[in-house]
Amino acid sequence: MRVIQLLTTISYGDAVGNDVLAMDASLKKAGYDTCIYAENIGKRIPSGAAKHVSKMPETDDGDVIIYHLSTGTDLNYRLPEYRGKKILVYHNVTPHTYFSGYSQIAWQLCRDGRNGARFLADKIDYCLADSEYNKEELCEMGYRCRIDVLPILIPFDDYRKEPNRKTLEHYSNDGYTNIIFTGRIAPNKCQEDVIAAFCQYHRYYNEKSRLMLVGNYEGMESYHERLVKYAEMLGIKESVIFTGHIGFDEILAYYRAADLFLCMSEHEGFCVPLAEAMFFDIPIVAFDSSAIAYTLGGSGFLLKKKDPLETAGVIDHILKNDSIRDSILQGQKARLEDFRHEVIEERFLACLKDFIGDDNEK
Amino acid sequence: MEQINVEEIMDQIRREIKEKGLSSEMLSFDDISMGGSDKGPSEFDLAYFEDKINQVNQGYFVPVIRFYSGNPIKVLIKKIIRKINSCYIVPIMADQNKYNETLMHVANQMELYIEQNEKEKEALKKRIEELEREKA
Repeated sequence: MRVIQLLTTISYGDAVGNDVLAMDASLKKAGYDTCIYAENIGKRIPSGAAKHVSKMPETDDGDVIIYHLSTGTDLNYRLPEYRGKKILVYHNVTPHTYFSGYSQIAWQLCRDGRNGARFLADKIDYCLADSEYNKEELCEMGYRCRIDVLPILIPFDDYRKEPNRKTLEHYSNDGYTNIIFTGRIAPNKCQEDVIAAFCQYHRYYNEKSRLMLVGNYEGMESYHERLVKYAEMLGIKESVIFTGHIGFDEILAYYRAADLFLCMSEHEGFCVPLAEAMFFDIPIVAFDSSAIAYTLGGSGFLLKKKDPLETAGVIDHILKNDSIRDSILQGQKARLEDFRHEVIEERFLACLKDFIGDDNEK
Repeated sequence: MEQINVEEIMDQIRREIKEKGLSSEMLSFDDISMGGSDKGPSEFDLAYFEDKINQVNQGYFVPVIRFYSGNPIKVLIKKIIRKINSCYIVPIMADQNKYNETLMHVANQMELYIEQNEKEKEALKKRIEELEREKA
């Protein structure tokens, strides 16, 4: 029996890529005959870690294919042609309407991705969903097979590496309060609402503050331009930093310099940056949408509505009140335990063993 | 671990905002134009067309009054310039909005026409299939 991981694109450093590589390592450690096949392999993926899908051998009924779905691709429709038991790992597909007016390519890929997920509803034997929110979506799409929730495997060891000294020194210990949000510049992540809340905080509570939007905007240039213009029209252009694509050591530096993590995203399948903020002991303020509440698991500070001025008040309140800040951090630390690599790895292998065992009994 | 009472904190913040008389008025992101870099698909795409019609319906009316923020002196100067130009700008904006509204109605009619045609096409297809089955 072989366990094959299949996906359209494997990129180094993104949540799906990290999850696939971590699963691969776990499977090998547990003694499975396993490999990763993808249509597109990122340049920074270690050589030999993944092979092109054209090199995938013919599978038989005893094999297990773990298919990672996160976007539109013909592979969504070709999956049923492969023999073997099929496990879907559903990372969620952003609703295409968010990209309306910004990117026709993203709009189409997301629309096709959701259609592909619906197409597979009656062709999958077992699902793993990154969050309860993702599980609910699968149910709404018509999936009737067993669905278990399994958070993404996060490489926390990588976050212990050395941060970029120059960036860290530039933004630390200068008397400024640093508010951070990490994530691709994308309309579903609503960076405009982060900017609006920061503007009110900067205007009414703390002029010595800056907002660091850490994320790549490739493919979303028009949305990025609009955000930059927004910050300019609000009069806070100099206080808002758009990092664009930066090295991992710089990302670490931004996290280490941050005082508070602010998330106003309206659609997330899991939101790895929340777990990252927990790791770096940064209090989180986040809007309650999609998978945010699940990932926070009762920790952080959850906002029920988007009001820039009220959010600014929350930021100020948390940063000035040590006991509230400490309570938030304690809660986050406890929640982080649920995402420890060993915990998720053990659950993944147990889920797989259960599935193979169940299926063999059938 | 001490649980924080979110509602209590929010109530306190709202009271403080009221007491300090802080204004929540600010420039909306919706007031920043989207620009024209998205060229669209090279072939007719019904879903894309419907999405654009939606955008037209939502955005056809351009408000004359915009919120200004930033340096109070600059804001005052902008407001004065706006007042001086209003006798020229307001009628032009009114004409532009009227034209936009007309185009919106045209676009909606086109959408209805396409929908109607698609339904008729489907009905004709079904009829052809029935006739072919009968013939066979």
